[in-house]
Order: sequence, then structure tokens, then C-alpha cells
Amino acid sequence: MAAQVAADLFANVTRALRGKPDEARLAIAALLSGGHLLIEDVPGVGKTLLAKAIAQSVGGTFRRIQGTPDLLPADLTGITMYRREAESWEFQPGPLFANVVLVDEINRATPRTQAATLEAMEERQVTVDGRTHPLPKPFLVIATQNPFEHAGTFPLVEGQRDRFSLVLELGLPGRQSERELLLGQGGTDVLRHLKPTTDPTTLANAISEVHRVPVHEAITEYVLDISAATRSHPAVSLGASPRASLSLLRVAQAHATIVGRSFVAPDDVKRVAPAVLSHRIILSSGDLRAATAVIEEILAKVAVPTG
Amino acid sequence: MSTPFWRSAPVAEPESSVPLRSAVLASVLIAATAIVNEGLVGPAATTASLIGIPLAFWWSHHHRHRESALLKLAIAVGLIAALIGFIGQVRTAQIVSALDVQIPLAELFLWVQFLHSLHLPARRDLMFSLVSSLVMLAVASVLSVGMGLGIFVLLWLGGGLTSMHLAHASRLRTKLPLTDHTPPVPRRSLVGPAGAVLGFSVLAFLVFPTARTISPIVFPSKLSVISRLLHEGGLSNPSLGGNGEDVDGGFADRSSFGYFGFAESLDTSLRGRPDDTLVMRVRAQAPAFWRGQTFDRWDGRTWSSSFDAVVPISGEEAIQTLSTLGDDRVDSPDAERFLQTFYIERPGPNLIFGAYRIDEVFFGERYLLELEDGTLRTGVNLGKGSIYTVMSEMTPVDGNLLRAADPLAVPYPNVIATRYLQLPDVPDRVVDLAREITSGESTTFDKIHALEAWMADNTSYSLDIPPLQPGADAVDQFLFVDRKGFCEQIGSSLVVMLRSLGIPSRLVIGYTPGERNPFTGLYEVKASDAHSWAEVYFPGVGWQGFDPTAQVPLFGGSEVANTGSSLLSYLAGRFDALPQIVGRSVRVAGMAILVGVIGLLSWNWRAESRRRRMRSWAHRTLEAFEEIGGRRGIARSPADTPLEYLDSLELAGIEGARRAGELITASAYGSVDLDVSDVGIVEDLVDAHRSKGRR
Repeated sequence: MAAQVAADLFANVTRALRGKPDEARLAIAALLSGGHLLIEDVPGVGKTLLAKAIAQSVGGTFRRIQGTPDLLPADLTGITMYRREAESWEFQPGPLFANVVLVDEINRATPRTQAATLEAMEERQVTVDGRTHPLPKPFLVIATQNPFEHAGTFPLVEGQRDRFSLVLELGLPGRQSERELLLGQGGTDVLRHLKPTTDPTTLANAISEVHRVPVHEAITEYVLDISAATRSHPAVSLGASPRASLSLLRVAQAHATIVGRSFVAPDDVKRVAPAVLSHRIILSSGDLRAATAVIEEILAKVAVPTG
Repeated sequence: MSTPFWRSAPVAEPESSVPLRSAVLASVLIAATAIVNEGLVGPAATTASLIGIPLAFWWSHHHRHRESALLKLAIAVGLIAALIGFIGQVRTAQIVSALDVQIPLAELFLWVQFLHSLHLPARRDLMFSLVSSLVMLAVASVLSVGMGLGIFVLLWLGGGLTSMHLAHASRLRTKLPLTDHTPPVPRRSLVGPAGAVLGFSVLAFLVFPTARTISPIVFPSKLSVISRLLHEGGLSNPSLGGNGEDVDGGFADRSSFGYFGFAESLDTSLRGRPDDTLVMRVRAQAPAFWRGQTFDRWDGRTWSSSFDAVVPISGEEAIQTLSTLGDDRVDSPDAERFLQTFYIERPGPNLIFGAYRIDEVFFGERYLLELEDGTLRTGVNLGKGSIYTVMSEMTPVDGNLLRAADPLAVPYPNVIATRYLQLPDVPDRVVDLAREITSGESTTFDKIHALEAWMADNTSYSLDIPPLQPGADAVDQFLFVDRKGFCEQIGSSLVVMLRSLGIPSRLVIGYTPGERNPFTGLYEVKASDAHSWAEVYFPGVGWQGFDPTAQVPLFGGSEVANTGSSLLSYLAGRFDALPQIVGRSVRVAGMAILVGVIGLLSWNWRAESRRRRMRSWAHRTLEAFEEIGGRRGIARSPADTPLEYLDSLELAGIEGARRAGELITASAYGSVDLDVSDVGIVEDLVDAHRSKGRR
């Protein structure tokens, strides 16, 4: 069932986002692993397009939040207000109460608002005026940001980046994809006609099914070996956390499901590792973008256990 | 190499696990003790095994890192010496029975085990020790006839399984040097095979026919003499507690448990039955009545023998018996040689038992005493542990043959008539009854059957009968007053009635076959299995047994049960205390559950082992492709996944490599059972490219 859900999502998303099958696969892997997704890139490469394509394919409720410096936490979580006719206080849910939440330009929001968002992502619940409200299931946050823009932004700190299952860099489209865009194939036009391929309940079941994809002990060892290598790498000042290892395994399980395997292969781990790990390590040089290269280097070194 | 050959060299993979060594040592010692416990091997071999082997294990543990050529040379010399010793023993000993070879062989095994224990540096050597200890256990089982070996087998199973488990753990540790923790050993690896073995053995037990346990070239015999008889040729029976002549023989057990019939005379007025003491075990291919002696003289209360002349008979290997009175034979192509080996468990009468008619006896003393009626006596009292083998010739007979050889119609020697028609004054009503019952029958065979049938209908078998009144005739008392009795009354009445009709007959004393123990394959004869029955002379055929109580079978092959049913009935016999119906349903249900559990376990184990085999297949196949790729200059970096590497091979022009990569990946990481045809395609691909590389 999970494999079918994954295949349908993939077909739908790639109809809108042309020429980026690997990125689409990673985005869906983040979704199926039950994690959240951060898309980083310059404007105009289709960040919002991908997020919307996913949101529309999933069905369920979709909310979009534009990150601005005057955005307050209460604008996201909701407020308790007095209802005159009912003569009682009532909770008015904010835009976070949706199955898919798109937070555009999250680094433009203030750290306080960012913290509230990330809190909700981790806890999957919101506390307002002492009362706890659970968020809907499944709950997926797709955040975008432009890391190259500095004026008026508040970059996410490491602990906050760790909350995202993986960070995706879309990159510029190929010439062919760009031509298709100009000719009106794909892109926002397609988005208008995109039909949901699944529903929140099915997706929630698919997510729990992905968690049960069998993992051979050699694969576990491989994941541990990779994490250990990030910690001992000379250029890295802070290696992957245990949460990062768990995330790597979960996303690999989801990736295996998407490519149609009933088990996790080392290839799955290898394929998702850069996206899962590069935003979670801190290099001694402080250079954020060199992290992907370091992960690639580690993957080229760590031996694959062959059982 | 400049090092001289006699210098010690380092061992490649010394085994350092002390628990593994200890477990193997325990298994070896258990097997050695099982052999020694049979009490047949000499003191030197006993010492070498029970003291030498532990010391040798200790020694080889301490020297496991270095390999000494001198030690190996010494072991080789020792092995040759042991072999020479074995050949010498076998040549000098006069081989009468196979047992004479088995004992030196067992000693040889003990010596080899000891010598091997001196050099056990690696796990492989320890495993070899374990296997050879299993062989020793088999040797012990050849020597053993009792159930005592079972304990050793169980102990060895414990030791052996522990050793294998530890060896497996140790192997995993050395194979995965990167991980610093001990890898978990899957529990199923023990439970599965154990369950499967149990299942298969139960199935085998149920399906296979009872083994014909004896082959005609094995004639075991062994003497364990308690004392010589004071009066050679006489009869002695220590199981009667001081009866018999050999009162000062020094028997350990003076209490009476034996049958009073194994004496010079049989007084039918005596009451009381022997108890369930195990007196002997019999290894034979089929059950038979084990005859001891016969009586021909009847005085109305007591049977005795009119033969007192004993003839010594002897032989170099087999002792041939003499042709005795009425010992006629039919020339038949179907005559069968029937071997029986008797293992004495308790001292009893000095009689040689055996199925009718005994031709040869393999007896340690090579000397016996025979009476004119064919009764065989030994010159010594046989103690526990004595063994002798009897070869009988059995000729198939049937009713027609016996009807044709009718003693009432066919003439026969007078000497048989005078002995076996002798009668005292028999009450008239006994004679009249015999005539009345048999009046409708014309042949002896049918008359016998009529008498048996009448007794079956009108008398009953009972161990609880009143004492015989003074002056009363035992047969008259049984037929007309008590109408119940046990084998002596029944057998005597049949003989007396037959004699009154002019049919030569006699009373035989012996044992019923006893119960076959399915674990050892031997018949276990208890004192209470003692029995008496009638034998009738048929001219030209010989003596034929008839028994109104326990149907003596006419010889012609007995039913061969399967081992399972005899196992069940044997076990059922052990649980007689349980109410029958409950017991049976519980047994059936238990059996069904057992079979079900075993089935599940073995299925599980099969699947698991298949997966494991597949994983190792993946590993092997990947290595084969690495070799193929290596020749094309495409080496696999350890960081390449199998799929990535085979993808690159596919790009290099090896068609089908990608598909092989998918299969290898599925097999190695997915625990996926591969399709046989897929495996075949991959292996063909490997073979094709390997041979290409060679050309």
C-alpha cells in the first residue's frame, strides 16, 4: 500500500516539477518518513511549486504562511477569543492546524516565531493559554528559505535545522525543463489541475507502514558507521546526532518504498544521506555549503557491509 | 624459509575461548566414560582417556599459539604405535566372537582421542575432537546392551550442543573484527535444528520397520563365571535362593526370585510365582520361546527327567549339539538359521536357553554338557555380564505337514514311545474326557487343537489357585475341581491327556520372548516370563510346541512391527497406572502436538537456513563479480554498494550485471527468497564471464 501511495505521489509531483526526479523523490521520502522538509535555494527555481504540488497531491488541509518580521507566534498557533453569542472563551486555531503547512521564507520570521513553529513541528501539538491542542495527522511542514539572502533575515540555528528530516537544494533546472516551463508544460499551470492522489488517513497509514520496512543488521551497521565517520572527520566540529542517525534510517526506509523495494538497500542510505546529514553537521570552517561535500567524501570512504 | 622445520611456527587462528574448550572436553570425556563404563577396556586405555585427555586439553590450550613439528611427529608415532598394538591384540587373541575385536577397537579409539587432544590449537581441531567423540559414543553403543548408555547420550547431547553454540559464537567474533561487541547468536540456530532432528528421528522411528538387529557373522560370547559347579553335569539354580547343589558358591543374592521349574524336578503342587526381576536380555531377529529343559516323567503331581546321563560336548569355535531323541528334521529349502544372543543380567539356572532346535552354541568356555533330550547345561554358574550366542535351525511347518506326520499313523522308534507315553495311574475321568473331546478328530494335530479349544472354553488362567490337596492328582484337580490354573496345570493336563490318547509328548520349561525394548532392540526377559508348555513328537518332523495359554507360534516368520508402534506400546507399558482411555487420548494428543511443533520448527528452520544460504550466496556471487570486474580493471571500492558496482560493470559491457546486482542486494539485505531461475541466470552469467577470462 505504501509503495502505491509513494508511486502515485511521485507521478503527480513530477508532473508539476519537471526535470527533478531525484529531488521529488527526496521530498516524498521526507513526507513518508513522517518528517519535515526544508527547501533551500535562490528564488524562482520552483521551491513553492514543489511544496504546493506535494500539498495538493496529499489532499487534506493546506495552509500557507509567509515569513515576515512582524509575524507573531499567535498568528500561527491561534488565539483564544471570547464569543459573545456563546458567552464563552473559544480557541480559534491558527494556520498551523493543517495537514500540510507551507512556511515560505522561514528565515524572514523572527527567531521567536521560528521557535514556535519548530516547537509545533517537533511536538505535533500546540499549547495556547495553558491548553494543549493536537495538530492533525499527518502533519507535514515544508519550509523554504533563501540562504543567500542576508539582509533582514534570521538564519535558522543548528538545533532548529535538525528538526527537518532533510534539506533539499533544488538547483537550476536543465535546459529541457526550462524549455518545457516556457512552453507551459509543467509549472503553475499544471498545479491548477493537480488532483490529490491520496488522503490524510491513507498517508498516515503509509507512514506507519514505512516505519516497519525491514532493516538488515548490516544496514544498521552501515548507518552507524556513517554517523561515526561524521563525528571523527577532521573538518567537522560537530558530527551527526543520534537523532540524525534515526532520521537517516527512516528516510532510507521511505526511499526504499518509493523505489519499490520491500527492504532497505545500502543504496537507499547512500542516496538520502547528503540531504539528511549535511544540514546537521557543523564544519570547523563555519561554511554551511561545504557540508554536502564532506558527507559525499564520507560516503565514498565508509565501507558497505556486504553481509 | 630459513627456519628449520622442527622449530615451532605460529598458529594462524588459535582458539582462545576457554568455555568452548571446556565444553568440547566435557563431550569427549562423556563419550570416553561411556566406553569405559562398559567395563571392557584395559586399565591403560582407561587411564589415558580419563586422566590423559584432560591433561592433553590443558597442554594444548597453553601451547595453542605455537605449532611444533616435533609434537606432530610424536603424535604420528603414537598413532602408529596404537595401531600396531591394535593389530597385535587382534592377531594374538583367538577371535571367537565379534566382541573380541570390538574391545581392542574401542581401546584404539580412546588412544587416538588422547593423542589428538595433545594438539588442538584451532577451533577446527576442537570440532574434529567433538566429531570423533560422537564416533566414540557410537562405539560405546555397540558395546552396550542396557539402557544406561541413554544417560551418556543425553549428557553428550548437552555437551555437544553447547560446544557447537560456543564455536558458532567464536566464529562470529573472528569473522567480524570491526564490531567490538559480541554479535547476538540467533536462538533459532539451536532450537530449529534440534527440533528438526527430533522430528526426523520420531518420523524415522514411526516409519522404519523394526531392525533385524543381528547379522550372521556376529557371535558374541563372554564368560563371567561365578563358580564352577561341584557336580559337573548337575543342575544349579542360584535364583532359587540356595536351592540346587551349589550352596557355597558365594552368590551375592540369596533371595528367591526365579522360577522353581528350573530345577531337577517340577512339583506342580508348589504355588507362588517369580517376580519381575530382569534375568536376561536377548538379541534376536524375531521373538521366540526360549526353551530351557524338558520333563518326561510324570507321577501325578511332579514332573522329572528320566535322563541323567550327560555327554560333554565341545568345539573350537562353535559347539555343535548332538542329535537327540526325537530330533527329526524335515528337509526344507526354507529352513532358516535363527541367531539369538543371550546377555545374562542375574545368575540363574546353568541352562543354555534357545529357540527350538539349537544347532550350535557360541559359548566362552567352548564346553557344554548335553542331556539325551537335548537340554544343554553349563559346567559353571554364569554371572551377570555373561554372553552366549545360540544358532537354531528353524524349519517352517504347517498344519498339513503335521497332519501327514501323525504319530498315531506313522511308525516311530520304540524308545520314544516308552519314554513319552509313560503315565502313572491317571483317574479314569481324565482319560474319558480326553477321548470325548477328541472323538470327532482323526489326526493328532486336530486332536491337539480340540483339546486346546476345550481348555480355552472350560478352564481359565489364574495365578490364584487353592493348594493341591494331599493325594490328589494335579491334572484331575485342574480339569474337574478348580478349572483354573497357570501354565504348569494347563501344560501338564495337555501332556497327560495326549499321552492317554497314545500321542508322545513332554513338558517344556523356558521363557516367553519377553518385552522388546525399542531403545536397545533387545528382548527383556523377566523371571516372571518363565513358562511351561507342551511339546508333541511328530515322526519325521520332530518336536512341536503347543500351548493352550500363550499360543506357541508355528514357525514360519513372525510379524514385523514398525519401530514406532513397538515404541508406543513399550512406553504405554511404562504408564500402565494411567487409566487406559485417558492415557491413550493423552498419548495421541501429545503425539499430535509433538509432531505439529516439530513440523513448525523444522519449517521455520528450513526457511531460515535457506535465507542464510542465500545471504552467503550473495556474498560469493559478489566476490565472483569482483573477480570478473578486476580483470577488466574495474575494482570495487569497499564504499561501493553491490548495486553501484554491478551498475558500473553493466556500463562496462557485462550485460545482465545490473539485474544480478538487484538480486544480490535483495538476497543480502532483504532476506528475500530468490527465485531458482533468477539464481540460475546469475550463475550462468558468472560462469560465462569466468571462462571468458580464462581463455
